[in-house]
Amino acid sequence: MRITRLIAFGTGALLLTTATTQGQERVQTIKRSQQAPTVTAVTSQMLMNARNERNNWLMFGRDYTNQRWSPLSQINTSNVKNLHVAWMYQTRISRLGTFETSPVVVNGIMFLTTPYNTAMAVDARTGRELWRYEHKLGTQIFCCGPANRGVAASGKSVFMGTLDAHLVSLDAQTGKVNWDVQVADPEAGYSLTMAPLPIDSTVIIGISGGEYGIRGFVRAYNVSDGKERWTFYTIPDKGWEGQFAEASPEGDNLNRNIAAEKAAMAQYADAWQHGGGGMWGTPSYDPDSKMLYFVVGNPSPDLDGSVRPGDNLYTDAIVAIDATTGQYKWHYQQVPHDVWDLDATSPTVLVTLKNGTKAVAEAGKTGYVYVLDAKTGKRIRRSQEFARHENYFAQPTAEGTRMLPGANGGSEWSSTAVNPKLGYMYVLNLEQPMHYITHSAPLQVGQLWLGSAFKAVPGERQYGNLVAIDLNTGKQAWNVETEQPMMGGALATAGNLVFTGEGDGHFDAFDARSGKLLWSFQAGAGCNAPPVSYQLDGKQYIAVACGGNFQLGYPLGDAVMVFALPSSGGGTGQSSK
Amino acid sequence: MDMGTVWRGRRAKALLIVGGVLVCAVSLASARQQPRHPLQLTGEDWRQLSPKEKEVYLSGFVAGAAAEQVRAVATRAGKAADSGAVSSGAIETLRSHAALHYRFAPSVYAAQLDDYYWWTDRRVVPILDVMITINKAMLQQQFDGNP
Repeated sequence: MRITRLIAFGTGALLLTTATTQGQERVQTIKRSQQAPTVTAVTSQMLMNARNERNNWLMFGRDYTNQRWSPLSQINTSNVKNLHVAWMYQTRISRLGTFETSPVVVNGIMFLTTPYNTAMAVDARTGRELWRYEHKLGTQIFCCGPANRGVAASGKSVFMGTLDAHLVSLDAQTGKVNWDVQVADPEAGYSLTMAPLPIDSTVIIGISGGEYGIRGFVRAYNVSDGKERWTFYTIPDKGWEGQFAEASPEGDNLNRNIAAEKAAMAQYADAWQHGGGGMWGTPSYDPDSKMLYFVVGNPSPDLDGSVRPGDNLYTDAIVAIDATTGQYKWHYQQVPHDVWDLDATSPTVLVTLKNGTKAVAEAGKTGYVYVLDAKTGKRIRRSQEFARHENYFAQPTAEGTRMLPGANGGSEWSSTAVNPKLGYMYVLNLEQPMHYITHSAPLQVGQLWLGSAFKAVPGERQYGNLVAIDLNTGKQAWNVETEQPMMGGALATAGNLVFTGEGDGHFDAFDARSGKLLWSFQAGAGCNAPPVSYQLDGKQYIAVACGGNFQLGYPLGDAVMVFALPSSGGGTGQSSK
Repeated sequence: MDMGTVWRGRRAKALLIVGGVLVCAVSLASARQQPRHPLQLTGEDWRQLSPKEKEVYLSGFVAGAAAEQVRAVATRAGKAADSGAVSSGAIETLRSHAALHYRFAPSVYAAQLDDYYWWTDRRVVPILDVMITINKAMLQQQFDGNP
């Protein structure tokens, strides 16, 4: 009996061992690298040389020109059709909004922001989150949907502006706060939505809030401690009435009642103190001349010009200042005394024309691209229209005057991209005919600040365009019509591609020379943010936030999509050098 | 009746009529000069105000709303008679916690009112009603992100 028990025990133990052994053979442990990339300090030299930084996307517009031009060509016209999702990151934020972040990538770490000011660092190879910072918002009001367009990176810090008008410096390795300064009073309507710009030992940011009676400004802060270095007011304390221009600089009649405006000057002499003039877009910068170029938004109040007589300088203008002192250099006002909400919102871009002239280009809500001499601000050319015009600068009537562009433009905040070899600027536009009327529809709660003098024309189709403008001639090179008005941004690459997203979730690649659609991916929410490109381990990636746009009603989400070619290379193409 | 009597009669009648018109005119003028209750002011009144007057009006509005909010808080807490609970200090406590109902600067409300009353057919709407609507919309925006 005892022996039987021993045999039984031994057999059982043998069976158990065998089973365990067989189980161990089947179990495979999936191991993924858990080592977080180490932050690289972003030096001034790197920022100055950002254009040649193949691996990185170091600032909002990639480099100081804001051209959003990538020298990478591994993904090109012959193989883009094979592009696939390399990874996807979902921000998991609890409150969605207009997702406009333009990722910054520094040696394998991607920095992102969300509409309500969460900042995060993500492994740019895998999408694994490294840290997040959630800004505790105080009082804030904002126009046009909560949004944030990204960070600035300098040293081992990243910087974010917030809806409650704070500028926050975060440790790029950990996300801990280095410093946090209140830039302006959010209860007075001030807010920050743009991506800051790092220049040497400063970080520069411009204020938003033109719908709320602010006095706009752009300001430089010390990177090290957040102390103010200089401030430039976008609304001057003297001379904001300008010359009472009866026409735009290009001669379009503004239909103003100059006599009435001059008569009202005494009553509204202090209107400049709440003149508006917010900044929506990150500036461009010329390190040679040290000049900073930016656009200034609408005057305040947005619709009622009778209480702000004069040209309302420098609203609706491209402005140049000295980046080291904030001193004024020149301005070019696209729309004096704007009452149509056709302010300048798309970021400026620095280009060198074929004749060697350094120029500043900007795609306006007016439906034209302006090309100005970067040194003097003198107009070189205004492009052929990239958006249709009807009753341009008409005054409203009781019956409603149909007008184009509508209140969203033209080009809205969307970042343009430039292919410097072709000399093309790629512009996203909206075709939204609107009625401009003096009598309102019944009051609708919550829509008072959307420039509601314009009403969409019932039953009329709205759509968009991606347009290539030849900056050297001002002519359209090609034009692709899209099903919905376009809002977001473009990316141009040395692979002769232009990437952009649509509100219905499509993320597209076009041939930069012809506009032919070569590839499209459906992301499930509006891809209404500017795409970027970077390279790691010899592999090129394209990244874009696809989280929609509140103002246009495009589906909201929280995903950042990153695409690459399959590991085999996906067809013919050039490996990135 | 001799003509002099008739003439004196007609003259008296004319004087009476003229006098009556004058009295009416004076009455109307007096009526226009009588200050109206602030609750009765509309967009037509708003557009007559100078920028300084708008600022003063809105400053008073915001201060008054804050005082009433503090009083209501104190009353709910059974401390309506407590001078400390109903005071500028109590208002400041609410303000520092972003708890004031009308928490935005007069310039913010002014810009919104200017835009609101740009519409001609809205000018009959009382300023008070518009302030309530504007403020509600801005507060709502902070919670759900919907302008």
